[in-house]
Amino acid sequence: MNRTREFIFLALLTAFAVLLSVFENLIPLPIAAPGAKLGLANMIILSTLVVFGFKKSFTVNIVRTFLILIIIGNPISFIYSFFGAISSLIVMYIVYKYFSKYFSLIGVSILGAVAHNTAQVATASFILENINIFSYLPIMYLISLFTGFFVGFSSNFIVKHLNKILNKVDWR
Amino acid sequence: MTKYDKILIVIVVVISLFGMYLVKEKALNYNKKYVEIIVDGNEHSKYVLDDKIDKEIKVEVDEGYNIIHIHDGQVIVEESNCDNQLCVRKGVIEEPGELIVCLPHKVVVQITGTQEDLDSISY
Repeated sequence: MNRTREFIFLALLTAFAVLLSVFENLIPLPIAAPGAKLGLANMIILSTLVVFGFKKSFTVNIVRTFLILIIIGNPISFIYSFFGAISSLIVMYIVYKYFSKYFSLIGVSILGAVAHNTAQVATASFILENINIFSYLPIMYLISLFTGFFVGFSSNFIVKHLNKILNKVDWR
Repeated sequence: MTKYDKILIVIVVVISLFGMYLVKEKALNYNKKYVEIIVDGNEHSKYVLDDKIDKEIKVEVDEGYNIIHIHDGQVIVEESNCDNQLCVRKGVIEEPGELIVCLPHKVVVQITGTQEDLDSISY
């Protein structure tokens, strides 16, 4: 196993995830709910989880949120996305590892998106000390169905091509 | 997409519709409405929300400001210098349970309500 090659791949994936996060910040969403976003970076995180395993995708995820903090420079939204990112990854890992014979990547990513929203709303209501923020949750679940579906669907292709590339360079 | 994916989608749709129904249901039980402006978990100000009120409030925080306009039974954040402008784009709110959140400024504008017993009024 070539560790250097693996590091380079993970660094590239992190860069992609950061790029997608910055990019999706530029796209306005029709619904103004706090923390609602497309979750494009989740495509990379989910693919990394499938191809490289939990530990490495966890690292990519953490590094990504810190880089976003430096680039966009909003410490409060960093806190929300940090807890959202961690809980969504943990849920996706558990579902992928133990329930992957029931759910395809689409189901995994929908559950990840749901976990992300729940954690984000919980964090927001904790920081703002206001339980009413939870009234945003139903509409956010509905949005996360669409984004989760899209992310899971795209991740299928990313995983396929990533595996093809990795087999070609024979890194293992 | 497997069979369980589809079941999952249906479950999430049902949960979110049920949640929306609960939020709506809770809102309908009130007949007196208030606007509360909460900054960083502490109450900044509170107004009775009715058709006659016309008030513009400027909330100043360390990070910037939000201009909240209460008029004709509606509340809107008219201006803010926050970076994502979600509070401005949220538009008007008018029912109890609805709220506008400005995460960067930790400002929450929410409409609450109290239930007034009809008997006690007539008595």
